[in-house]
Amino acid sequence: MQGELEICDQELGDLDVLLAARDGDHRAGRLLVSRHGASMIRTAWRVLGRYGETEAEDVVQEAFVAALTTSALPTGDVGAWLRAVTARKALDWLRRLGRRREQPPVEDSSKRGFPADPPSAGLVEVLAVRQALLRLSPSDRAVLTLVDLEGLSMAEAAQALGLTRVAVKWRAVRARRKLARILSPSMG
Amino acid sequence: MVWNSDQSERKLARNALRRAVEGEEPELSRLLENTPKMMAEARRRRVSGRSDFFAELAALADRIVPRLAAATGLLILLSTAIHLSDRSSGEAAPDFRSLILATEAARSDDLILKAIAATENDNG
Repeated sequence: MQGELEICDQELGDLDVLLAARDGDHRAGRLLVSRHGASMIRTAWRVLGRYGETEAEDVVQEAFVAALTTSALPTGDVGAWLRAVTARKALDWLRRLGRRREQPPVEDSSKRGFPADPPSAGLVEVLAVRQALLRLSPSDRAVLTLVDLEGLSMAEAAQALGLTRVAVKWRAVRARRKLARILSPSMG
Repeated sequence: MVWNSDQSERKLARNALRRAVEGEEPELSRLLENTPKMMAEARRRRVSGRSDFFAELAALADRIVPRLAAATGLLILLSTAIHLSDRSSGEAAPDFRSLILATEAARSDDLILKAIAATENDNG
């Protein structure tokens, strides 16, 4: 296979791996997936609002294809760039399905692999947080994920999501306040 | 304080997003297995993207040309309106043909040419 990586995988920077994968190096492609696949799946979960489902894997596959197709190069962290692409693909996926706001998923503890015993306080908290996030729109979740979790600037998030900077800023402020009201009633 | 409130809301959002994915472990086996397919699809899109370049150019021209045509039409109407306005105001618009005729008639001994130039002058 053309351009097989010869150097130890761990020594290769993410950008080199990305470029090699674009050139058709399958080993580089698998390395890219193994390094960033998990974080991309988590990003997809957050935007989709469905955690642990296989839909996120489909979204991440689309994100990888997009990342390998484009000639654009990430200006900063490759992982953050891939997760930004994932957030956008998650929104596209939801739009294709025609969903604007998902119904809260039914949490089946046996299906999830959680024990059927009374849920722990930690699990209850996780479920409560998920329910709170579901009350935001997918676009708002995507904005919060990219700006507040990934640390992207408003301009970078706007470009990644196909929104204007003003829209990103407005959504971020509104979504944070709504989330704060839901999760912290005392902040009213 | 507005700044503190904003910072605390950001922190709350960040923590909520982190907390939401706890208890789930992403499964990479299917992604790894499908890596060759993903790379093949990316390659196919890059190749078809290049051949689609001219199709995209044609589509772009399709959008722009009608606007150019409309703009040209507008300019023609505008210039005609200005020309007619100049004529009706009595100011003689520069008539290239009359100018050439008059110049040639002045130089020439041709009586017919002089007569034509004189007619042009009268018609003004």
